[in-house]
Amino acid sequence: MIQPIWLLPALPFLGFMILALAGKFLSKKIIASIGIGSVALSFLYAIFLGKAFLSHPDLHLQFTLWDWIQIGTFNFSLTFSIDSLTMVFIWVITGVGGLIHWYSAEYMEKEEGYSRFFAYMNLFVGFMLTLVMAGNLLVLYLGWEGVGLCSYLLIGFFYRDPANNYAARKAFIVTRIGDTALLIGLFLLIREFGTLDIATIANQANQVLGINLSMATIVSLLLLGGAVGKSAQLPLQVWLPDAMAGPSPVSALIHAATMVTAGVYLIARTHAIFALSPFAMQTVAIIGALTLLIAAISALFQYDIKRVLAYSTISQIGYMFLALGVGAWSAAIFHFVIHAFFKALLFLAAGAVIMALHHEQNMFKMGGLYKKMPVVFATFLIGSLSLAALPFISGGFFSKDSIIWYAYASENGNLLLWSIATIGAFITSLYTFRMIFITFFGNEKTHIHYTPGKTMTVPLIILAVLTTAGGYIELPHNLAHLQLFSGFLSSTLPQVTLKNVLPPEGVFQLIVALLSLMGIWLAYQFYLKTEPVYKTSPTRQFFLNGWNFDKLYEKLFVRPFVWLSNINSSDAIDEVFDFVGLQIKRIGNAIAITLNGQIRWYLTSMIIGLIILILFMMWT
Amino acid sequence: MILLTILSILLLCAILSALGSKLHSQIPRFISVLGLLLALGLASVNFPTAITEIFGSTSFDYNVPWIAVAGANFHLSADGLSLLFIVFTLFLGVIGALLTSKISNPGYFFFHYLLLLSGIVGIFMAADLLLFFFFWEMMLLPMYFLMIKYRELNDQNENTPFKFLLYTQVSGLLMLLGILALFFIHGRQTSIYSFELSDLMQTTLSLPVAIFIMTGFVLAFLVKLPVIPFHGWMPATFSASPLAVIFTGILVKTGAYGILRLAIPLFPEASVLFAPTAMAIGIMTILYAGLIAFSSNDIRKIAAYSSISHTGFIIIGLYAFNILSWHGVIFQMIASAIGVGGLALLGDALYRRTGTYDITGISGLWSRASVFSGFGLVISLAILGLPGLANFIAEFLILAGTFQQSIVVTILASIGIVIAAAYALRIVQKVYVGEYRGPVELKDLSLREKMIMSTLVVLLLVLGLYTRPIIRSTEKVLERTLILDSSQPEPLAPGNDASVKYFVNPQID
Repeated sequence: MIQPIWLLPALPFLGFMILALAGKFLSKKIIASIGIGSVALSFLYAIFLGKAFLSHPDLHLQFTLWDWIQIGTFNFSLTFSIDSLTMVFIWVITGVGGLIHWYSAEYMEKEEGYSRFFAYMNLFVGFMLTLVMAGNLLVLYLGWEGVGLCSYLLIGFFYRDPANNYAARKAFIVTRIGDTALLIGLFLLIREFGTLDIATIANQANQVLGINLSMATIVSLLLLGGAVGKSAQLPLQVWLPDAMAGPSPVSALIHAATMVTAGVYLIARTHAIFALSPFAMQTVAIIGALTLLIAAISALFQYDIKRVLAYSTISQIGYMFLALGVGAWSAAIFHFVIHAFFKALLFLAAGAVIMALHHEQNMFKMGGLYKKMPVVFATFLIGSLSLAALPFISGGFFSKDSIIWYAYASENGNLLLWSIATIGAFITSLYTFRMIFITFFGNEKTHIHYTPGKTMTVPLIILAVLTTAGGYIELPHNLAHLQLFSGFLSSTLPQVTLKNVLPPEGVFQLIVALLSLMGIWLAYQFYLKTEPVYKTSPTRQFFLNGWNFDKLYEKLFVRPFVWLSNINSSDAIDEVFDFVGLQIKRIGNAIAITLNGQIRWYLTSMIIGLIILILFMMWT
Repeated sequence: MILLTILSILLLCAILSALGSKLHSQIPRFISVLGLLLALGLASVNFPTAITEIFGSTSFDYNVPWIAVAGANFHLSADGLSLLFIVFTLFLGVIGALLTSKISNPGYFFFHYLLLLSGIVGIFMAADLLLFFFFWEMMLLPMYFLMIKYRELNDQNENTPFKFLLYTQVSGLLMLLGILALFFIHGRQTSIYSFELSDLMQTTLSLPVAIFIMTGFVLAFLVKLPVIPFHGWMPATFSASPLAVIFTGILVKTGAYGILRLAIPLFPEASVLFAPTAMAIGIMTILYAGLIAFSSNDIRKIAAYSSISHTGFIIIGLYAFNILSWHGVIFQMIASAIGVGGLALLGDALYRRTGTYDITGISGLWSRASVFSGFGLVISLAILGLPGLANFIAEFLILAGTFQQSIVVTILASIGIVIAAAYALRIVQKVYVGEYRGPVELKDLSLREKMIMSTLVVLLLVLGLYTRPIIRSTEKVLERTLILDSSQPEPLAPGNDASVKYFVNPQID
């Protein structure tokens, strides 16, 4: 039987349509039920489909709606397709997405634009599913731009404050620069393959691009351009910290769990092309390594709790890119899943704190919250343990540990990549526990005035369970023979190729574990034993501002663009023509004495035409 | 006969409107809408048949001697391309007529309005070059008279209608000279003096002569499109009258049609030689107009320059000689007219509510007029080319096709996509979001405005997701024209770009 898999994105789209058209007339209760219900139905259907996948991971479902663009033999059809890689993404998008929708029902209750919020969120889920289910790259691009739009709309959700809208526009335009690279990559693929069908490209990649490896490199780098934009990696990472202007559930869903990992999905999906080009692979790994380090250091200097999490997201996606770059495809996807759990959890828990403190986001004005908000604290702690990758008791350990190991052990890995990843792990646990200690311990600085209800805490608890339990489906090879996750993906993503001679994995694990414990200990020394005070200095300011990339881009691109645009706002070419026109009009006025009124030009032209006609006829 | 009937209905209704206005002020509008709908119905019904026909010898042809002494025939014809644009013109015509309910002097207005539309429709039908020129002139004069009568009182630049006429007449004159030159050369070669397009296409021209004559044609069309640097009349026209926008949306289509129907088929080799220049003009148009659109605060000016910037894509797509980009051109003509038209309509609605076109003079519309703002958002998204809306199909196909010819041109044009995002979102930024700043009372869109905007948005959405109707209606024509033009013998196959690959940036491949 052919499964109507198009229902997966169609349900949230339907939810969006209802809320957008009729939202004004519906009560909050109905709005929330539609918003949550549409995603929940998709999730249930995904679970139903998933049952078949668990027994047959090599299953491949496909459904073509209609030919989107069909010209000659070029056919870009609206095709959805699901394999095990897509299935993983669908579970996360609908599952974590559903929980975030559920949480939002309470979180957004007091805010203006309740139905608008759920409409945009549903629209986002629809586009995100379109993106991961796309059977060809043009449909992927449709989803790709669609999620970008929703990100734009939701960052600027509190539209009354112009600052939010600037952040939204910045996010859209910065990612669009990457998207344009991706689009050019698609043109190149059309030229080389004559199609954008993902399966065809994957099958023929070796044959078409294998003979011309520099072409494989160019295509990969163009696709990478799109990926770094969407996934906020160097050099296009600047938009994500500002994107925190959106409501916390938005940050959780779009700017942590799903959309920002679209770049990871894209590279994993087109791994057949990337794998052909060692240079492109290396570039991906280096971008990942640099980003994870730069963002982690920035996270250490933030005072806004959401910005800590934003830089942490950039940094964690850096780990995923690093994994992709060394060919550890399924390790990257595994970290995506675990990261989606714990980062959504952290954002939602942070949201609860922010809400309780009346929209206070400055950690240095929080403090002592662990007694007042025990559930939120407990879940936040569990999420943080994963982020800091504490050995054995956190999912993040298993997913991040394997990436760090492969950064060295893969045949594309080396000691430098491993060192950066390891230092990153140390800084991560340092900034994570800095955040925990400042926010939840020490003296209470602001009274809480709202205690989150069950609608908010239950999703937190579920995510906390998933975060911890999730790690155990894929254990390190030296500890146990339990690799369910990479086994599930093995039909879609190739296994990582290891170096021939390797030192024992345990030593490496031990170093990472010790460093992350040391990070916690250091954080304890700095931020718990002594009362934390926020200090400023030029150096701190530099890291607080994310290495001043914004200032650099402002000088390099924004100002020249605005200057170029303003310098000619009066349209010089038009002015030249106007001047000439004025002179002609003066002459015209002179002629007008003999001609009658406004149709003179018409008459003149006709008369000249006729004269020429007659002259020619006489001549021939 | 069917084509003649369509034309006659429009002309008849023009006269009836002028006469009927004496009885009641609503009669001209009623007659016009009725006539346009009738013509639209007639054109649509014959659409399926027209798709397979060859222009100039279809089953609809109406061909009678016109100026017999000069060998000019009154020859109307229509294939899929023609009919697509006739239908689209009449459709926008209906919308335009619906918009103008409270116009002063309705008899005068609708007389010229229908005359203008019949001129445009005539252009799409003319299979005789002199007749083509006749219709070309016929559409310009009513436009001029409309602009004189209905320009805004606060419009300081009294030269606007004159500017429009000057641009279009001077370039029209060049085209006439081109037509005549072709007529005599062909006459001397074959001793058949004819203005028939199919005859003149057989003319053997030496390359320098072909280039010379083609320049006359192309200039007329480039001015009409318009491209930089011949664009000055358009922002002026947009500012002169809100109504002008809807006319202009239709009017400019004739320029691209002219290139596709006349300039390229009549002068294939010269067109190939002209292609690099055309590409340069296209790039300049996209970027130059895009930058001005970004710096403008007047919403009409933004609409005008956005339209010009879209035109840059049209010209690139046309001279890429690639089937994908040609289909993209067709989409661009339709989608840009709807998108920019929608923006201008909203600009007009904004003006009527707030008394300003300045996007910095008002903000936070969302809190007072959410439907207005919702449409505003969608229109901005259309203009920046969001996938799912028709404008994306246009840009995607044009660039995908152009890429097969020149990578550099594609990359430069792609910068235009980023600029479009910047200026389209700037409108959203200034007008719809932020804290409310504007008149105390602000009404949301009226029912009629909502219906018109919904029609436009639904059309953009449907064409953006289901492209088959448009592609099917023009694919035969475009394939034929492309083969005609291709100097290489091999058939058109994808991946193996059989058309003229060698002329732009041969070093890249």
